[in-house]
Amino acid sequence: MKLEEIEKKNIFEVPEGYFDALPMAIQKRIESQEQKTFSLPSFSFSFKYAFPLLFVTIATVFIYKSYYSSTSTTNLLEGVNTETLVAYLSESEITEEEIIKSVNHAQFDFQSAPANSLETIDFEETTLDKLCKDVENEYF
Amino acid sequence: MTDRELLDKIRNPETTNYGFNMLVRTYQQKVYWHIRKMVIDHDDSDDLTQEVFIKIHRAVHNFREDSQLFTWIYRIATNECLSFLAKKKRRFFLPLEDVQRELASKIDNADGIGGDAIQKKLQKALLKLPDKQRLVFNMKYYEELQYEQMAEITGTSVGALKASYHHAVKKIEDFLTTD
Repeated sequence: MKLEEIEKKNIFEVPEGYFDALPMAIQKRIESQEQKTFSLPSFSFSFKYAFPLLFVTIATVFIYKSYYSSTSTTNLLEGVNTETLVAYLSESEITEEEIIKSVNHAQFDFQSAPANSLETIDFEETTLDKLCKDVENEYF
Repeated sequence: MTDRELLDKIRNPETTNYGFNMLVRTYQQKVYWHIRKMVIDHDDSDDLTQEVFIKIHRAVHNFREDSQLFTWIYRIATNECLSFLAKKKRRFFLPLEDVQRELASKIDNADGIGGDAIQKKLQKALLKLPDKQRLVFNMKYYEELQYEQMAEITGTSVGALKASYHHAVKKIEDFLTTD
């Protein structure tokens, strides 16, 4: 069959009034896209700054909290008198060795300590004997 | 209104909306039918036609007039069609035959398609051509464009277009005879 034998005809149809309404439909789509384009910068602007701001806020809160918690422990202990502290430590399951290990000896200036400072410590007889033996074994 | 006048109206801020509206009214049918013959379905054609004019609206201010307004618009419409068909084939991992079968069934069953049996047979024969060759056939046979215009639209040489059209006609006549 030859192509010339077939009548040249457009068989496709469009809904009635389609081409009358098409320019308006296109105009509407352009307007809606332009609105999106205009609102996009403010959207991206807010996110551009919101994330770093959020990060800085979280970091600040975290640093402040950790600093505050460490200083607050020191502050809290400063308010507790020695007797209460000794009573607490003797009741707790912390051993003497653990307490000695946890003390930062560098903080203490034994040279400038009063000469009679050791006299104020009330050692029990047996504890004192044990301490003397330990010192003897360790250093002599 | 000539293309020159349309462009002048669009480029003048005071008449830009009016000018673009006139451009749509001047070219909407050509663009729509160019697309419809390729994608067959009215809703797809409607969506693509609108998309083409949105792209034109975005780019018309930078149109350098290296080519005619008419061929520039046709080129946008052609690219839009070919990308749509390529996407359709990729989207569902459909083999070419399945897309061809889907479009052929639309010719038989979809609303808004008239014509007698032989006209429909011709359309189905056209679907067996590769998309670019179908495009060349439509532009020459239905839209009666000059080869020079087609060369500007497709970026293909006149010689290659003539050969493509000649082969397309032969293939279609073979399909019509054997089917």
